[in-house]
Amino acid sequence: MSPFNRSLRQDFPSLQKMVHGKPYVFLDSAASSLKPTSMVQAMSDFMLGPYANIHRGVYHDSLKSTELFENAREELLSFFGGNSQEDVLIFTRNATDAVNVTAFSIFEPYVKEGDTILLTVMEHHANLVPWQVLAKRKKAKLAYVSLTDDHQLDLQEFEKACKTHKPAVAAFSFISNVLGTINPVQSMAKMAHQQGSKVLVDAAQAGMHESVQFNLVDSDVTVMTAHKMLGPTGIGCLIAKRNLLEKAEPYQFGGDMIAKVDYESSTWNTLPNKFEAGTPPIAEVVGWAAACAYLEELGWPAIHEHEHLLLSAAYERLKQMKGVTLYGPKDPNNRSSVISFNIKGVHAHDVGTILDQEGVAVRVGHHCAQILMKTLKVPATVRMSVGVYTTIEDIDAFESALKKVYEVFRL
Amino acid sequence: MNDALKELYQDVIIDHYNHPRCNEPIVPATSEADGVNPLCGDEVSLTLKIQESMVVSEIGVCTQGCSICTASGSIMAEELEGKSISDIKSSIDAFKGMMAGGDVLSSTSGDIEALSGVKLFPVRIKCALLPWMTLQQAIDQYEGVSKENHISTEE
Ligand SMILES: Cc1ncc(COP(=O)(O)O)c(C=O)c1O
Repeated sequence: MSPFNRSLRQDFPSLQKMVHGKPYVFLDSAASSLKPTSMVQAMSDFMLGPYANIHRGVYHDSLKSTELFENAREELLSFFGGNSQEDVLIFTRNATDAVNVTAFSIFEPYVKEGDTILLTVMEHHANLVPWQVLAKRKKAKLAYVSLTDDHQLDLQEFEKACKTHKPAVAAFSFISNVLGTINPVQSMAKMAHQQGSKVLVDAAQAGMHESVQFNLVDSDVTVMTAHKMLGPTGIGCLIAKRNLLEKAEPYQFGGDMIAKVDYESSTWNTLPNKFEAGTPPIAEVVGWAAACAYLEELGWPAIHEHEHLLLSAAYERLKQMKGVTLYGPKDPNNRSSVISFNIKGVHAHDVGTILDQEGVAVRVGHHCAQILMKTLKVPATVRMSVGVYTTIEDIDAFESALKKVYEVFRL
Repeated sequence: MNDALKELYQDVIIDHYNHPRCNEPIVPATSEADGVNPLCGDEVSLTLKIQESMVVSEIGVCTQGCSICTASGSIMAEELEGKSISDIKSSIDAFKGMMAGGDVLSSTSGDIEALSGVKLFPVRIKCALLPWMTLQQAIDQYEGVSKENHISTEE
């Protein structure tokens, strides 16, 4: 039995609808999660209440808004296990933006001609393409660590690659958005740091499923995105060590990030403002903190128990179906939040279309991980993913909808 | 199965998907082109033998893709093989028209009609169009209208 009460579904009004005449079954949280009323309410209360621009005004509401914004930053930092003495949380547009800031500003001075940037084959394009571009500019090399037969990261290969290449940068995901593999990021960060690498952890896919404890992972930079963890779109962040950020040049220039502006040149503001040019998405930051409060109230042990139950059920049922290939680690303890699969003789897109007609939303395609698709030697997969609002009835409906695929394709 | 799915996955479509016709590459080819849909990874590789009389005597369509893309390529090749370039061009236009909501094409085999169900699924229209766009490209290249032998649904 799930630890969550059925009434939790009431917190997510977008679930209360019919699609193609069927009750809506949302199994694409890995792309973006649904939103709880409390998060939307927090944004709306703010915008209809003390709303004003921050960091500038001397009047009441501007000060109030600044306080709400900066409190939200504190809450988020502590939610992700950072501490404001040593760590700084910089707001970005999303995780992709945060990787770009890291590649082209924070880590940029540490990458020299001939250096290696170490990635894994399971990276999302967000944590891959920026590094390709940086490598080209710097005449650096890219190296990719591959998978074990069980679709976990090959940790031995990773360690060997660290020792051989002494990479300038090692960038890897916490959880694969295709395989659901949970990477041993703590050990990986340690191995890379021993060779003097700068380490980025892409925790975008972890947000709603695993507690990201920045202090324990000990990465130089961790990137997050709000919309995958019950928060709004348009806001993400990076968390980095204060001393690293102090040495880095700003990424963008303009208002808010300056200390003094003169005719020919300017000086930069202190952290975090140095990295936050222009008016930030203030309401989104407030909403994100409310989303984290919602998750905190549910608690990680209950979230884990709930998701484990649903994923195990889905995995077992998929295993029983004819011609299904499952991707990702077999042991449910090594995976989180998503299950990718294919049905022999049916293209993922056809599965997606048929499930949609049954009211079931899944993702089909390459999931912004084309290097991984090449590694798996498939053009596309079907991916189902769960969230705190998913129920066992959703898994039942998913299973029945899959039976339709067999019917349509006369399998 | 609901009515929309019945319209999309007609027996004819499933049959062409499971047994695609004309799926051997023509060697040597008079003209050839590749088409991709980068959003879903569908790939069509098309080879043609064109006679001096401007008749396309052989069409080879090799598809790596969904049922709609594969069936569309198979139906297209079967229907258009042996036709003149000018007839083929008007068939391509008519097919594009049908996908845009225009008249349903009639064909000798009756198979093209089966693709009209795709219209009900706007995100799948590109799947059906890809082989036809690739054929257009191979012909444009043969006629010197284009130097490219590669097309993408996203350009
Ligand atoms: C592992 C991973 N990294 C990065 C991203 C990019 O997130 P965003 O699009 O919010 O920047 C995603 C989103 O799909 C992801 O799954």
